[in-house]
Amino acid sequence: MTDEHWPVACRSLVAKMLAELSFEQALRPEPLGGSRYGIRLGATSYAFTARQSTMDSWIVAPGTVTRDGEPADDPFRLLLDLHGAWGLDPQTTALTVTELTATLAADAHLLRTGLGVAELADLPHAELEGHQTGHPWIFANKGRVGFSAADRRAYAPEARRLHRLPWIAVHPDLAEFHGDPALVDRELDPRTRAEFAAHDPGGYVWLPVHPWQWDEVVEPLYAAELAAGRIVPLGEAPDRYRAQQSIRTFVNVDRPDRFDVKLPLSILNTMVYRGIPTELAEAAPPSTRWLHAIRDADPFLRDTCRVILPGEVAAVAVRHPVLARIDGVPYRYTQLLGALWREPLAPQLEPGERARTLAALLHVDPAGGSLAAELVRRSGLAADAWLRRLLAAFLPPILHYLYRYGLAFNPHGENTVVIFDERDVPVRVAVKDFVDDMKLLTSDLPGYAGLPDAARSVLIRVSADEMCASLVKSIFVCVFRYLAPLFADKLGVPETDFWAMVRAEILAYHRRFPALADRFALFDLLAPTFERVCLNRERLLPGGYHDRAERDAPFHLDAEPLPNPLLEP
Amino acid sequence: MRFRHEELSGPHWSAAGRALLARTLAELAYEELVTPVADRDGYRLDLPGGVGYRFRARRGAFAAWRIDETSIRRNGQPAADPLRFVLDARDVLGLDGQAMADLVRDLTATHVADARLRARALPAEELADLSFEDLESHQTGHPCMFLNKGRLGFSAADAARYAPEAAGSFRLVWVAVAPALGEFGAVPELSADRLLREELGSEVCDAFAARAPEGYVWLPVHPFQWDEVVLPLFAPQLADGSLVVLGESPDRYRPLQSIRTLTNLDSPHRRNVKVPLMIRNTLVWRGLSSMQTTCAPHMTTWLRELCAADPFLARECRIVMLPEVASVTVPHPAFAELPDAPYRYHELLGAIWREPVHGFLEPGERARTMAALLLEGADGRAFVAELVERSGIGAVEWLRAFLRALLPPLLHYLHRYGASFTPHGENVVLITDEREVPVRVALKDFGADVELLPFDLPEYAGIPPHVRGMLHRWSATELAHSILSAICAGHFRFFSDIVQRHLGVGEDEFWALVREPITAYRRRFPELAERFAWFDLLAPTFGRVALNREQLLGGGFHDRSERDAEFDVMYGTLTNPLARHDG
Repeated sequence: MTDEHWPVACRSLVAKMLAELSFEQALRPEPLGGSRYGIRLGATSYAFTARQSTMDSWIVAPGTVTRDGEPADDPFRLLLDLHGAWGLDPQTTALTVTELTATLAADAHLLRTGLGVAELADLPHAELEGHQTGHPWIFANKGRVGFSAADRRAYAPEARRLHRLPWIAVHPDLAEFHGDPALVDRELDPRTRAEFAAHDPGGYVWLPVHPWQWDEVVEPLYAAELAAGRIVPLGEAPDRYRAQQSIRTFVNVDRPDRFDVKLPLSILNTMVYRGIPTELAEAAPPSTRWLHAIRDADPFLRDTCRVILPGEVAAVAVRHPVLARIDGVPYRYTQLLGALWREPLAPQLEPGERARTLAALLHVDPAGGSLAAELVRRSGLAADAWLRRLLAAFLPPILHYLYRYGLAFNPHGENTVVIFDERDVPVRVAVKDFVDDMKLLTSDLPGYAGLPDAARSVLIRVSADEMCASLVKSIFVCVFRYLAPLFADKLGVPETDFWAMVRAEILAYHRRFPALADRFALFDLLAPTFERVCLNRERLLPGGYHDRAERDAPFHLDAEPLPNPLLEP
Repeated sequence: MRFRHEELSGPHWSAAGRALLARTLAELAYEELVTPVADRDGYRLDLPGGVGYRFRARRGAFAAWRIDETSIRRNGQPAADPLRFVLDARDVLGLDGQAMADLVRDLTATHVADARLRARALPAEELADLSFEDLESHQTGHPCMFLNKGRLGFSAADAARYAPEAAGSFRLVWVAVAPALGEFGAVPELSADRLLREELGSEVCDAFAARAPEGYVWLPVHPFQWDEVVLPLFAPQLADGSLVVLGESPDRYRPLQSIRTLTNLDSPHRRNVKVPLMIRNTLVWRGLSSMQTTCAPHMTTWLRELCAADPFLARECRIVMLPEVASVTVPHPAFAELPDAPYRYHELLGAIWREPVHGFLEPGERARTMAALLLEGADGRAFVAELVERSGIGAVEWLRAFLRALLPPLLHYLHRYGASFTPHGENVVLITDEREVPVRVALKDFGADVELLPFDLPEYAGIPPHVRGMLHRWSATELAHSILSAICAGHFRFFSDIVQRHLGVGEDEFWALVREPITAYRRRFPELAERFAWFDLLAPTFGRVALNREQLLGGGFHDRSERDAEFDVMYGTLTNPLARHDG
């Protein structure tokens, strides 16, 4: 009657909480001798076995944690101790309890149903997504506030279910289609189009809706538009889709040549509600055209890196006629309904190529097997050689867009897809999620000239330092901080070698493009330190971060700068 | 996926919108959130941006607004869109973005529910023939709150399944919790085993017993709560086996107006069950607190003992106190350690069993909640007009009978025992005889909602001390609100309008009728004169309960740790229509 996987998930989560809060310097572990470390929370003492790794990171061994000398494998107990010691806001802590519970349930499910790495390595990209364990850094990483138990069984990526999407038609006063209007004709068969057209009053804008969003948000909040016939249900399209790690991006299983669909989902997950803002829908197609134009005109990106940029070629945003007019409304109410179509990856691969997200390389199966190690084994290469190939595939296009064009993607583990050849050697990458996450400099560079106004006014603008810090966060903190110790533990590549290879790849780029020297100084990836971002601490702070009008309003936390792992010792 | 908006199309949506707009205007004006001014043959409300609303209205007791819904014009055009109105009035109401978003959501949900009610509306004659349960699915909700069917947390499918006006049915999930997690309580004569045998039948009981570890405490769970709250939030307890699923019980249930009190459709003699629902409706999250579940059987015992020992209550009033005979309390282990967390986290799982009214009725008697007296049928006729006609005794005598049934027992509990209830339209069940003449009432929902005076009266001695310590203690003036606010301003403010329009009895005459049983009671119990002065039901003025004001401007009311932290829903004063002929 008990679930054997639950305590395992609890032990891992406790270890992750301690490790990440130590990285964020909310906890300051004191050495207790050997590999034991201790912290105090009020009158309570925790001790654990851990090691420090690069970037002030901590690796805490699950199952080694004690609380006042007794085994402590309860993440709720730890949270309550943090709550008491730090005087947290009870409402925020209560919400964190719900998110931790949901995360544990998902983790236990993943343990129960997890495949071994040998099987995982054979899975297609879209299916592998259903086995991944979520954001590596945020400990409440599968909170999905808004999903019931049945919703999780249906719609969580690890549920691995296939879904048909309902389509609706929206009066053109409320909705605009941006991008190639012929897209809908390609996405729906003639027969489905004819069936749907019978419901369209004429000239309406068509889009798919996530079934959860339809029931929980669209019907309740757009009831007046439904009553007035300004939103009309068309029916369910026959193609089946699979949810990706982001939960709201779907890949077409029946027709891999058809587009991925990103849909708003008003659930709170890893700190934000997952909607599609109106202005981003408008900016997506022109942003894509601009990025593609840059790539197609640049021999390094086009021929050397052969980078794939899955285009966000079309989008629809549907305004809420009342909520959109309310100043100061929480942002989640301004991104309730819409759709974004992204070019699928599969048709862009060459014969023999396979795709897996960068995040997948961090995956460790329930038996402790590493997917990266399995791929290294299959490649026949030495681990350091394989790693060099990975870095050579990943970093140059990112660096080139940064230095040459003053543009930063958010190439974290989920947005970066590594393309492997038939031997599972990394050969190139695809980078996705442009319009939502791409950053430009505050001051216009000459290279921005080709950027259409619709995109220019919408994309995030930051300083060069902020742009650099953003890339460091996405790549170093979010991915390499975990990949380096994993290569050390599972493949015997010392962490110092890992970071030396990263440094070598960056310096190789510098040597190849000496004309960009002033940009290397402007975007100083070799600076001694970077800003330390503290996502989990922000999460625990009071102030209803998710009820704010601005999703990305800044937080200010005191933390020491993060040492740059690229600096030679 | 189903598309469920058929009932929203056509005339129901606009008719519901027109009525909801009129109700919104009337209640906001009553609570002085907007201030219409007299203008020509009606009233005018000027709003920022050059927007003006005009309408005709009659003013009633408490300066209530009886707005002719067909007369409302916005800038000269007929108006039927309540959302348009709240956008127009936003700056006057002074709402921030979050409060506006909540308002838009709740108003839309209320509009949908009202349209659904209209799509199922029946003429008054047919309403009068409906069973207690079926009539409940035609009730229109809290009369004082214009956002009275918001039900935040229900999706469209949930509302279609679980809202009272959906008139649906569903089965309950039963679980068993370890004794360390949950506690059973009951009136002295009822054991857990007997309750479960009576509620489930032996066959189901035996089947469940095969899955329940010895000594575990059993309780039913609403299917919405099961999926949205229990499975997600009690996942650690499900994983370690301290919470065990027994299965679905076969009887089908339907919600009464309170949504979380369910009545058994297949075995109507079996008990109503009140279960927590994590939805926010009419101001509060509708969970079930440990205080409510713990108090319920004890308060039942006390109130029934008082009644049994008091010939006035037992033999003259023949009041029925619908007993809350048993309860289960299940605190959530993690949230229990966060006492300052919002109260909804402390009300996740539990149950109260209440005897249904049917078992207390004599041959020929019928029962309906008092809220039904505010209903108007699809034919435009009032439900009460149908009852009066059937009684054959004329409107004034029918009203006298109604007020004589309703007020004396409430007055007696208040004055004689210093105890007040919340006798709003849903908590009072009106019992009529075979001619539809009101004869007596049944009261419900007095678990933790019985309120006492701040100092101990000798009459409180029968309440166990630990229960007495949990109950709310209010001043005498505040206890008087159980009559003045819950009944007079909360129910009769609307009923008097029905009475005038449909029964031809003027408002002044109606209030004189209300005074009759009060003055009669005073004559009957002169020894309680000191207490008449404490509670002073005939005072010239009393405080206005402003629920809409609290809902709109309460500023995180629903995120507080104490649901009833302060008696802070008062705004301004009302002239007491009972005051004039103080006798």
